[in-house]
Amino acid sequence: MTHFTLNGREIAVTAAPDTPLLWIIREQLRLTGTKYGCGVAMCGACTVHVDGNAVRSCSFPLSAAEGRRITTIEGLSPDRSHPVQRAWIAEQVPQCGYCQSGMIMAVAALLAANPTPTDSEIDAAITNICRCGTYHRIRKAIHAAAGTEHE
Amino acid sequence: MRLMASLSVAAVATLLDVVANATSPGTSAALFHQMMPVLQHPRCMNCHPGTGFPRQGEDRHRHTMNVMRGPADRGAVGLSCSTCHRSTNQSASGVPGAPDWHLAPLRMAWEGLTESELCRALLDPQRGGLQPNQLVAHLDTKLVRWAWTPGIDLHGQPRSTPPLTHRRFVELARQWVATGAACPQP
Repeated sequence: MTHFTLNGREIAVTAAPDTPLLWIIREQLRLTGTKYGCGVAMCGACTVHVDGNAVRSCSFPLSAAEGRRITTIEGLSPDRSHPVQRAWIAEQVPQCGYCQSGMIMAVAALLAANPTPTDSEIDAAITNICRCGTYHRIRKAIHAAAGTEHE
Repeated sequence: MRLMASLSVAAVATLLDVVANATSPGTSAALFHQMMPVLQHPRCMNCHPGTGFPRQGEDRHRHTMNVMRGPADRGAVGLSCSTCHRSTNQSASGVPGAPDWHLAPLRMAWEGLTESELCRALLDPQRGGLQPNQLVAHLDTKLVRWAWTPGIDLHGQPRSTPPLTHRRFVELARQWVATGAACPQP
């Protein structure tokens, strides 16, 4: 049995130690805001926070979750009031929306570590893929959330 | 009988030759030469680049997804190596992992170095090289050992491993250090 907190809730789950955390979150705990994209840690749709750091949960084994504090898009704020969520709504970032929960989680972790990232720092940190091509609005919303919009 | 006698004389002569040369620079450099195919193998070289990014795969292509070296050789702020790489290989995704997953610092970049240059870099204090005992210890870390248990790639294909066993590689390194850590001529 593996124990961790998920969005502030104590969780105990039983599964093979190498089960990707993404499966536990979606299939066992029924939180489907975190998405399955590529399954090989390339697209970032499955990004969650582990102890505040962004991880791609398709490549995070359950065994590594023991004792950790895990946050998904459902737990980022109780009422969509996180600055990144507010900026996403204000800038109307999503198109189809499938990648956006991972995108928001990646950006929230970046801004926690670097509150005012430059464009090149954003390029290095936010490598999530959006097939709708909303990258220009993503960048604008990141700067807006950081309070560094240059317009 | 005569054949056996001549064989044993030859064997003794060879043994004496090995003993006599055990500490000669030529023998030490020859030991290093045997280590080179490991040091130049993609499993080792991909994490000893001279660039601001890692490489990956058998063809040593640039790490996809704009992955960067970052300020502490552990990825960019907000996208550290540990965003994807954990302490074990991930069989579901093919993402490799080992404890302390990170890039070698730039002072330990091996790309583009000749055999002689790479050899000198390993123990050169001016370049931030290691003490001999530290070097042997590094070669025995879990991160280096990963090169021999690299798991599968994202297509489910096993990654190749260096051409020597890990045990043989470390033994060669010990012998190389013990014989004076001489390097091949430029």
